[in-house]
Amino acid sequence: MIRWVIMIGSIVMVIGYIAVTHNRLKSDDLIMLTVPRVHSYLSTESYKIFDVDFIISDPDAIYTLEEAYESFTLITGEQELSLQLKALNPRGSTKMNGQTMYQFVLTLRIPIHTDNISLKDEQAIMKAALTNQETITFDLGSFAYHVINPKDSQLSLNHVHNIAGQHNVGVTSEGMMIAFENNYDDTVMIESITLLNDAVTIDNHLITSSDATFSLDLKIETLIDETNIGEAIIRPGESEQFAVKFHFNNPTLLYRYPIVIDYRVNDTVKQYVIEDFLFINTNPYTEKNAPLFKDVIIDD
Amino acid sequence: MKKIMICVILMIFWVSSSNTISAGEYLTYEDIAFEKRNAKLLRDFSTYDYNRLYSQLSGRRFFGWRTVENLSNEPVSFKKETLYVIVNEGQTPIRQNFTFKQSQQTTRQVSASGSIGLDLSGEIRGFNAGLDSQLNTSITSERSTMIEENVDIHIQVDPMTELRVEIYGEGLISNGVGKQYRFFRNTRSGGWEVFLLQTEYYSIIKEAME
Repeated sequence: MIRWVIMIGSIVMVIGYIAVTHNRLKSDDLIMLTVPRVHSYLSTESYKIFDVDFIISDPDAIYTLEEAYESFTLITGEQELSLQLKALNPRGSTKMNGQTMYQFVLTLRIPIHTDNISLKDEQAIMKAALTNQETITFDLGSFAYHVINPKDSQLSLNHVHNIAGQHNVGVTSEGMMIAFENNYDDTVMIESITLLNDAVTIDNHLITSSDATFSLDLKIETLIDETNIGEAIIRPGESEQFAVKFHFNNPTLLYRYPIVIDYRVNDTVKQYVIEDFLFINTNPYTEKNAPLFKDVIIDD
Repeated sequence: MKKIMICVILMIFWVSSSNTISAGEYLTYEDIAFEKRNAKLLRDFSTYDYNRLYSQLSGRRFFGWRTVENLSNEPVSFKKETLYVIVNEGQTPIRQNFTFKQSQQTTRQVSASGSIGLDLSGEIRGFNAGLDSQLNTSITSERSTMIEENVDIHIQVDPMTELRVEIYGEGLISNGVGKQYRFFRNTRSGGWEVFLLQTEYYSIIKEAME
């Protein structure tokens, strides 16, 4: 009888030891990743809210608790800007290499600015200070934030359709179809279109009039015939649709962007602005985007 | 008399439930189009389709499910309802701040027909009676949610125009039929379908009011 008790006791102790060791290993092996991308924000008011997402292997880790965060700082080159955390929400789970990863979204607010400001950086980071004295660093990718006070315009937007593609990475924006109506008494000439982030450039000579009807399978390459580019003009009282191709310096993701159009009418250059708008809503944590993933760095 | 009444009620219930679809939200989309010709949704299955697929099932089993796939992660594109509308019936342009909130939606949605039912108890819906565990893991593994999406934008709306946000998207459809057996007796049968939402695209459209 005593022999049985000792034997069962030993088995229980071994199982207990394995369970404790396994749990310790699990916490040591915490994986926390983010996907840097193109962040481009334009505010015509005095503040802006934006999201930074991450995936983590342990959904109960301290980094998933809103109350664990003390402060956030956006660092773009030499500039530092304090951010306010508005919310930290779970966004479900996804399987990666057989491991379940849990996605969370930090919603942050850029504080009030009264003047026009412009922040630009190709390699922006965000540091978060936690109540346990740890600091974690998120690689954001390229970051631009502008405040522009819009002027009245007789150029009227008809529509904006994003054109998506999957070159080198998962689904991302590769261009757009944008249409305007000219309510001036003179011809409008589109001089330039920008998304306000240097990671995305637009060759303004290739802005092309297009009568294509939007569908999800449209490819931006098929809309732009580089051998037959006319002037990007809109005659008085008429509407015109343009196809615009985006160029990227490096493979990256673009889901949300503002649009700033400089146009000439009556020998005066004027501006039409559209605040940043979410054109693509998708899960960036896919196999195709894996080369873009960056560790969230945890410092004690 | 009482027994006859119960039998009639049960018959009516059985007939009404035999091929009706317990639907996921994706079946409310305005338009769903497959890339592949001849591919169809569960709701469009004919009696011939069911019979053809049932005939591909292996024999009875002592306990559990027999399933067969008709489509496996077949790409579809769709158009959803208009998400937001601002109407300016006035005589001057308005510059309005609009916020649209995407309600929470699961990226994995399911539909079933016949006596295959849905398990609606959890946050993420699945099939009842353990059918999920019998399906291909690539169909069942993705269980993430797209949660509320706040989009703030300040935009000018001209007189007598309306501005709306339209949603297009892409997903994957898998469907087929299944039969459940208990002690070699067929206890449930019908069609199953899984829709995996991959990406939504939002377009801004402004048009003159009619």
